[in-house]
Amino acid sequence: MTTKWLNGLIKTLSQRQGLNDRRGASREIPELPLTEDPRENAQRVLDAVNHSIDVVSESLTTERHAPQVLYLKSMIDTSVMQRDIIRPLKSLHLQGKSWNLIHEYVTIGQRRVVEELTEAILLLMDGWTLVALPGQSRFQCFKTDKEQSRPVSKAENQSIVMGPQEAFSESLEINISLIRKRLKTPDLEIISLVVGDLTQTKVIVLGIKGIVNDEYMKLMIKRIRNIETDGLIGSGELVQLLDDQPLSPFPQYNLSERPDSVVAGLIEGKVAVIVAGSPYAFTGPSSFIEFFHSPEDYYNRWAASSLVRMLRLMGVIGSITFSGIYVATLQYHYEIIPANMLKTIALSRAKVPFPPLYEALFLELTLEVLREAGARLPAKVGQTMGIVGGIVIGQAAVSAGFTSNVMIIVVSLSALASFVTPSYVMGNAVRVVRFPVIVLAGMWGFLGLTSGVLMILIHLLNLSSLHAPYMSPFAPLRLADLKDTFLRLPTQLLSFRPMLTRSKRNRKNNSPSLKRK
Amino acid sequence: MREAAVRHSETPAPYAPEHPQHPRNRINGIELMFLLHTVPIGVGVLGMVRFIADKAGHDAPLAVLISGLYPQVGVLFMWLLLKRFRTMGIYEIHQQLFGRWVGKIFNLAFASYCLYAFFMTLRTFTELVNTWLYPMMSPWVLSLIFLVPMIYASYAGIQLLGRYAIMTFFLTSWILVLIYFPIMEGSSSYLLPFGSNGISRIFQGSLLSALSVLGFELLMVYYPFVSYKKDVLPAATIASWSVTLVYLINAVVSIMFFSLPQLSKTIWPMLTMFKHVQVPFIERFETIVIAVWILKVVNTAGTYLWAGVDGMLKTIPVKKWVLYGLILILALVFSNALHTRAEINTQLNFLSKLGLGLMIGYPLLLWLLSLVLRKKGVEPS
Amino acid sequence: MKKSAMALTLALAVACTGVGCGKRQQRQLEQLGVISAISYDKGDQENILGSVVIPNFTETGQEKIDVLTGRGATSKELRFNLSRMSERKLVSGQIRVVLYGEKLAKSGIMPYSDTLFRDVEIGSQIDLAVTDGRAMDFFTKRYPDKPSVDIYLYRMLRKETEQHTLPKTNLYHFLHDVYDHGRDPVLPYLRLGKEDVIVDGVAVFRDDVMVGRLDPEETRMLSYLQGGAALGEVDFKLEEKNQTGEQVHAVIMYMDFKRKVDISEKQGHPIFNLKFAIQGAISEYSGDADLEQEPNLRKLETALKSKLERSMSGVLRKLQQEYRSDPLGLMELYRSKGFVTDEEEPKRLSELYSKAELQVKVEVTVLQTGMIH
Repeated sequence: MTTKWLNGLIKTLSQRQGLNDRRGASREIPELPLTEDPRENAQRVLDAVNHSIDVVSESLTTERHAPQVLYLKSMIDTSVMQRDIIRPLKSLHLQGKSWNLIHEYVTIGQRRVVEELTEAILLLMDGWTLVALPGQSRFQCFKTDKEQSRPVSKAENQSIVMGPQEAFSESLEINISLIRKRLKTPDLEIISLVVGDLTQTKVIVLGIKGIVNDEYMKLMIKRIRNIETDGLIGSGELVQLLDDQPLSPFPQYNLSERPDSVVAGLIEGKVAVIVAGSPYAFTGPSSFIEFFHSPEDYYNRWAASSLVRMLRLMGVIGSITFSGIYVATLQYHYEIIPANMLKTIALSRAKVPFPPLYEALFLELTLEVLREAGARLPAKVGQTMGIVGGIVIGQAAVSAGFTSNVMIIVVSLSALASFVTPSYVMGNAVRVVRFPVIVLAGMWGFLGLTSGVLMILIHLLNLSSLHAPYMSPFAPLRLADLKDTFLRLPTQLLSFRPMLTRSKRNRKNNSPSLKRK
Repeated sequence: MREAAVRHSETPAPYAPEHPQHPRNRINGIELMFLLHTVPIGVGVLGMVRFIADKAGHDAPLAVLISGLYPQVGVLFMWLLLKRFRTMGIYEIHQQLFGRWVGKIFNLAFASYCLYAFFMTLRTFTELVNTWLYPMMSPWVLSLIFLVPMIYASYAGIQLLGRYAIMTFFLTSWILVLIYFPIMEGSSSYLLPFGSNGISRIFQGSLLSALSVLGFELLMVYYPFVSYKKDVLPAATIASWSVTLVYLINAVVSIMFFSLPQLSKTIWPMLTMFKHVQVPFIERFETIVIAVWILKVVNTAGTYLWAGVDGMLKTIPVKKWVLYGLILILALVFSNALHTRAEINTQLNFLSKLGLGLMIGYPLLLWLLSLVLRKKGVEPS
Repeated sequence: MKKSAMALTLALAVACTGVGCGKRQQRQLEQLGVISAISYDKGDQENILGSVVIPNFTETGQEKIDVLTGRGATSKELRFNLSRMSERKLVSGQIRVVLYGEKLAKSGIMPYSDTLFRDVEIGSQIDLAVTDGRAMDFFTKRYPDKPSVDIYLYRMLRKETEQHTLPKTNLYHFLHDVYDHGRDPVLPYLRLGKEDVIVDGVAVFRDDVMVGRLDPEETRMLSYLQGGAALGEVDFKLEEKNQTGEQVHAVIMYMDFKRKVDISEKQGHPIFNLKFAIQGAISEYSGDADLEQEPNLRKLETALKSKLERSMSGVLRKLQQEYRSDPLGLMELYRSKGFVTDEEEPKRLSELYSKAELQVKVEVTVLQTGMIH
């Protein structure tokens, strides 16, 4: 039963069935051929969009067969439309010339001639202006869209001290330009796809030809094509639709709001994907260790970066196991406490009425609630939350005897350690897997703890990203790639692309020598 | 690197998911090496020195060194046999040599041996945990805790097991550092004089460590899954001697640390040694070592389990998950049935003899038989 | 295929969670009576008297200790009787100190401690000691200005071993030597002072039976004989007298201490030549001689040498002839040279030891004579 249900769930989630590549609006639009009458054509468009109030149909003149201009008021730049379409057309009319000269008069570069109603409506929705001319059973379409977007701003969630501060914004154009300005190569392949019946979200797949492995590129495109969904809002959603194993708590693609890290991924031979309307791009295939790398590691000196990377890894291990170790020790293995520590721990536990497991779960959950409250509240109120949580609840809980202060230290340490992960999604995954580990530790002591960690380990080994092994370069082992994992050796030594990307050009062009010539 | 280019081909694979050359099933030389290295090092190593020292006395390290020859010889015979049959593993060879039906019987026998070894590893470890950590927990509950990761790993197949072996190696190799503490207490005079016990007793001692080198016979099961067959002999040789090196270190340190009569009273000498480790924030390191040792036990038992299931699946028409479910239930039932340490020891004795035979004698026998019957593998089309 | 594997494990995990509510063994710290020190004494008839120290952490945040005393025919029975007196479950995983009354030690320790040592919960680094008089009195006595008795004893014994005034004597060493045929253990010997505990030399054992004791001075010699002294000071009373008629003292602080044991055999008798090379500095000297002058220094060196040789061989002879105990592990060294094989080892070693010829040679080199302010 369960297996069947889960399998069904996986199927709906992953959409790996060979579905037809269906593009187009959700509702079938009656495919009437266009007439030679502009008014009739305009009427058909208006019918198709249910006379929505923001679709405007304007007659250029007062004649019976006057040209009709159709546009989506909310999506276009009206001044551009007035200046570059209406005014030239009017002057053309005043000069008494034929409507067929429209292409000489209208100065907008991006234009198309469309003969099908469906396609015309798609363009209309995308912010194009349609012009129906008398005697022509087609629409002249001009791109007049205006994008509502904020300017390029500083990276907030993946902020770094040193290095470029730019972050992606919601605008696809800006995002591509942010990448393009760092990668001035004709080999940069940019492929555009559309996902979502209702949202018609543009998804851009990027890769550097000659470096990226075509199979990854093809696989990524195939998976995106196969997605059948009503709406796609953000890249975080898309990523999950592309996972090899959707049930896993761990992210399988590296989401980033930083163009520099996406470009670095592209240079390593990865495939990058940008989703319109989402300030997060992602790269794949990704390995587990990658989520603990920050772009800053490459801008900093190698020794400092290596230290920081090891601290992050220790942080993660600590964050998963600290509370578990505390629970297991106090509940089962009192004998491993050294003589000098026994007194401290026993004294702090003396007043607590709950077993360590409940104590730990109680505090961990409190912390998660505080964190969530802090994250959703406006910044100013958020600070107050920190004070309330940290001082009031913490202090009060200890003095009331609900928890021991050692427990508070352990829980806050493990929470602190979970924040050193540069990837937000990975940080969340770590927070989640901590709970089963604590429960297992509470049930079977260290045995439960290790078997929990072991399950996580096997699961990680079992994971893949675009069919590439997730735990690379540890397993499968490639010693050369270890130079850029929990260590970050000097850039001169990193002369190979990681095996993970199976790049066609394996060697980077940098000089492998540490000696100054 | 070489195989990397073809390994994870996502074009619809020309092979069925169970096929040895399916990209999800292939292992490379490195993974093979780690598999062969880590599988023998399971529960046996924790108690091996005691048995050896009973026979070989102060010359236990010499006995261990000699026992390094067994896997090496076994590997050579296996290599001869497997080379003759091209890409075939032991289960295919059986059918080729003995015909379809008799081959099936041999297949079932070998697969049962693997499952038996899997079960004994599991049971020995649960017994150890029962003595050291949780005297009151019933064996089947403990078995269940260990069975979950074992089945998870083994269900995923040989490639995962290979990678898991690499992780196990690196995640447990730090334990080697801990021998600093017993070495500081030990005295090197216990290692002397060399070879005073005579060759026959040393040899007998080396036979007793055979249980700890079991795991190399699985090479015959791994073989079809190895992507480059040329890697097999060097990988297996490195693995066999590195296993011996680990055991040698263990034997040297144990002999230095314990006095002989004390050693013969100590059931798990390696764990007792770790009792002596003291660092400022943790005492009684053996608790930690036992907990970490689950990694190794899951590796050993999981691989045996996979090898057995692989043989069963190739021989009888049964669904994979049904087989695993059956094994799970049987393992739970039997782990409660096998009670005392004496019973377990008898079984282990039997297993070690059987395994040693299967590792050295059996491949030689099959090879000679294939020469006589003039049968060999054919190049796959 | 892979997915159903995941589903399977998920289901199993759920099953495990269910099982977790079943029978299992919890040892929650605050519900345990964590024994930190334990003592054994000989009682009347065949009984043994025992007492345990259990730190009690009260809810007011103060620490006090409970001392429970009971008797029983075996140590198992004793434990059982003691646990009836406590509201908590007595556990032995944190035992740091085990004391034995001298009377009990003289009848052999192992029979009474077997259950203790068989307990896997016990660590291997716990300190054992023999006491003058009843061991349980050490727990019941009050020591003002001292931490609780368990911590007090634990720290004191640790410190003594670290300073090499005592040979290393924790549980591991004790068991190692008891079982070893070529070596015998020693344990610290404790005496009650007015308001404190005094380490008064060591108790010498033959296997697990106490056969005698060495006073602190002899203990120090034993420590040197074992070759374990790395850093320390030796105080010597020399024969000569200074102008005021007092005996001359010399304190040598040694920087290097080497032991070499030469072993040979003559007509079935083992011959041990223990050679010591001590290099050190004079840190105190109350004599009149000017140590800056070479001949005076040489004279002092020979004086020190003969003094050391005499006291060392005195201790050796006492151990060999009076106590027939071998805390130096000389017979183990003898075996390792190949004179005795593994099979005949146990029977002959003790007999050979009593026949052994022991010689001590000491070389003293004074590297510097210290500073004079």
